[in-house]
Amino acid sequence: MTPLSRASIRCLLRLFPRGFRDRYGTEMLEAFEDRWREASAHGRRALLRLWLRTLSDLLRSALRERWDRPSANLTQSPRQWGAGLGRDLASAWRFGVRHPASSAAILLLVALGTGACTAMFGLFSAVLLRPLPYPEADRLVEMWETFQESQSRSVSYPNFQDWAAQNSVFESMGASVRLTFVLWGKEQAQQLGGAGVTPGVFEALKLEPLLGRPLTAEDMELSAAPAAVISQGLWQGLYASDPAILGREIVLDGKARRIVGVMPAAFRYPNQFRTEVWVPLPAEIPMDLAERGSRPGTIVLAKLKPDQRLEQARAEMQRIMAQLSQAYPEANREGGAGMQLLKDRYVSDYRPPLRILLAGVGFLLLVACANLANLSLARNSERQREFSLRLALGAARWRLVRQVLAESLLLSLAGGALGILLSLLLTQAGRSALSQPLAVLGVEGSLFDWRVAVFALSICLSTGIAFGLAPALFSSRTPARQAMQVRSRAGLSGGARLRSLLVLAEVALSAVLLTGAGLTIRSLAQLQSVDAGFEVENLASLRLNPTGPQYADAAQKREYYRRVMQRLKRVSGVESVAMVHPLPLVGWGSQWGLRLQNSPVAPPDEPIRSDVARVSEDYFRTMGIQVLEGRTFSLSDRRSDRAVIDRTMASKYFPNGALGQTIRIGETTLEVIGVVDHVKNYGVNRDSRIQLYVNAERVALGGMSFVVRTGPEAASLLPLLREAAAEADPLQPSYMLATMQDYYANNIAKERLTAVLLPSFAGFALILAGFGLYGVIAFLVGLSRAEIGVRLALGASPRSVKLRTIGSGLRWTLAGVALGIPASLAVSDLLSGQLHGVQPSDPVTLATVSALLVAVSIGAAWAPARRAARLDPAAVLREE
Amino acid sequence: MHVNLQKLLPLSATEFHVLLVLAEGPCHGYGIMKAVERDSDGAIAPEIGSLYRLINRFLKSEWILETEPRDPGDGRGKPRRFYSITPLGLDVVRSEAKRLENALQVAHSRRLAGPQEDSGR
Repeated sequence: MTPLSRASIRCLLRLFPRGFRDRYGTEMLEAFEDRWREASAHGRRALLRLWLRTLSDLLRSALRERWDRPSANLTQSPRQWGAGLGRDLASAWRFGVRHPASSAAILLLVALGTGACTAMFGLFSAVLLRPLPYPEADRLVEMWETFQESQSRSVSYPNFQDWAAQNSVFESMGASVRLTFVLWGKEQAQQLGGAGVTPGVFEALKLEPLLGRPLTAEDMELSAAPAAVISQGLWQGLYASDPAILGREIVLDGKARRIVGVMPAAFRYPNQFRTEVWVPLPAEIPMDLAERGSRPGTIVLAKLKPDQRLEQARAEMQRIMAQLSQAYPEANREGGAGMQLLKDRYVSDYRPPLRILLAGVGFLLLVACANLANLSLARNSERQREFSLRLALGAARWRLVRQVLAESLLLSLAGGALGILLSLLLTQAGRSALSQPLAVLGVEGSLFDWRVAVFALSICLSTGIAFGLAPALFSSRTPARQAMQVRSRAGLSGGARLRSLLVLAEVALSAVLLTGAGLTIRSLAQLQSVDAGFEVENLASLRLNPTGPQYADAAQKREYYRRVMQRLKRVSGVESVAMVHPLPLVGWGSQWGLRLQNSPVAPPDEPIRSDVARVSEDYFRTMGIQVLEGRTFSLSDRRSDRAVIDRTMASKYFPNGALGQTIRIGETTLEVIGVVDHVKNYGVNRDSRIQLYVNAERVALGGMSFVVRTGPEAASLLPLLREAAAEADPLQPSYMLATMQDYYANNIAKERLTAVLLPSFAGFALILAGFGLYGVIAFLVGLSRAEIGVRLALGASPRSVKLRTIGSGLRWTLAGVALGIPASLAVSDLLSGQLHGVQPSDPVTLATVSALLVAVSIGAAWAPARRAARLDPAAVLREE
Repeated sequence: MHVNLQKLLPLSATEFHVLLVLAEGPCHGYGIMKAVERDSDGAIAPEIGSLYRLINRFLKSEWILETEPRDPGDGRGKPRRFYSITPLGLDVVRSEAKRLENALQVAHSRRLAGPQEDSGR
């Protein structure tokens, strides 16, 4: 049974009286679990049916258990209980129509509350609850190697083969490497995302090809004819869905391959954004793969056997890796294996923010419920006498409760229907903010599925009960004597207390939401002011990776890059151009072991890990990276090995001055000529390492990114830059065209999501709390008209009356704040992992929130207070 | 204790079926649900809320009582609570059966139920 269902049943059981729940709760839950297990064998429909039946049964039974008179006949049947339900609904309808304004307000509030909740849950469920589009996807695991406990690295191919052969926990296992191919067309070249894979990948993902077959063990033989499997997208786009595609040739990087299969659109592993071609892995980079010490970016996908769990797999892999590091100490020293469920690999980053947002919208719903209860109390107050009379005449209490509940349920269901329409709009808006995880998961089309439907229905019902119950119980409780007294104030004051308590709850809940909102806003502001280490604005970038026989050796590549650089410089609006690998902020890393010759901190024979970037001479100037000491690369450095290091490496390893020190990478010894500012390589919200730059002229080159410093028009220059790069060789496509500002925005997209949505929930809650306060204060003023009249008649100044009224509102607000602030501190643990540069107990935020609530409270009390001050004492006293 | 059984009748169909199941032997909640559904050909299928309300009232009326489980668990390590019928409960279910039998006989005599009375003669 899913945790959600179990939690829901637990919630429903809470409706039963305490004694009953304590005695039978566990048993009932167990019985339900048995029913669930039984129904789950009959599929989803049976489960849904069970759910609906249990839901209605529990609601009905709980109410009856609570409100059946003790003397009620033991053998009263449900049919009798249901009798008159139609009448109740009809009277609810009539009552609603008689009070159009408050009915409309309730409808609107329910629609907003449930709409926002449903929309948020739709997003939550689409990202976190929906399974990946592969059969038995919850058993898919991605694995990599670990190094020195904490670091991860890709898997060596011989290690992968041993994993596959020796383990007993996985039913299939495959390795893959992400690749990019250039596909030559008639006029221009196209960049294709692809992968080298072993057959295990197809076995684990278990999706049938649309046409042909997946890659098999025979294709993996180096002597086999080169084969390729293509994606549905490529088949439809490039080959116009040609049914005779199988056996045709596709030329990738100048090498002809035979197409043996077409995979359906859902099959997108390993690059969920763009995998269009799959080729046999061993044939792809045989030299690299054969060696145990080489780790060419291989990731392993495996599928657990049905009876195995992740922990067992972890233990098993640990055992295998321990053996492998004994057998091959050179290649596997301090090595281990890491793994994560494939789904978690994709979405675990989004779990905390989505949970926070769902909790936030839940708080908003609670505030709305408190407001609804208040509205509903107000409109039921006129019926109190009617109810008291009926009670006195012997009506069963639960009949009255049912009548009021029928009304609130009717309204909440109607409001819920509106809310679902609203949620469809809100979902569309939220979708764009989550476009990345949704794209990775391959979620297309509507987010409204059976989970969302069940959720929407349950929150509608619980909203109806939540806001109907207080008035229902209250109006059916008042002893007849009190209520029958004409204009008895005693009969109403209990209502005033209940209503004030509801407002207090609203203020407290709003305080929690506002604090969360304030913290996320401050955190985002902090993130936006984080110094990336370079000037992010007005910087465009693109990437090139020339392939083909004419770029076989490094000199030819270098010559090509030089041509590209010249072309780019000629584009009008371009100030300077440089190249680099890896480009900062995109999440790439290139870490090497360095040996420091003369560091007082690190012994020379022990390598330290550092980010190493290859850059051209103009890189630091183009990026706007500050030079702190010494100088950067110049043309004269092309003939000797020099290095530039960042300020963190300089201060940590060379406290006595870094210039002139020597650093060894492999067999090369580099002399430090400069110290530059630290760059947030992995993104502004991620930790970064120490950094070393080497001159791109002195090392072997693969693909390179070009950074282009421009005027303010960076984004609009991108197409021109693409054209300019194509002039150098039209057959080499440029890709990853983007401004650095784009990458920066991507870095904080997740934080922006919370920092935009949470404050809007909080703002809405604040408005609701304001109206709630207004309603209660106006009600209190109405109640104490006589008292105010007497005061005024005895010479109290209107000003003091006004202050008293405002003060009475303020009292509840302050009590709400006093409750809300500690509560928000208690729940802010949820937030703390998501905050950057601000503490959950941030005093500025807490003070602002309190001040805001006080201001709203005064604002809400203003109009009723003025009315109170302007009362005509004579008129009031006459009324009495 | 003297109880006027007639005052307790008629039972609802669910109550009757639950007592019928327990008259056969002790049983736990889920087992009762399954057995009632089986005995009534699916016509009566109490959900957990209604069932446990019934159990609660039966216990209070001392028609049933909680017994030591016959088997310590269901293999998942959780012992379940078993309920068995009391002599009073048996009396109630017998009287109800008797009442129904009488009613059935009336139905028979008016040829509303059962095999035709005279077809066998």
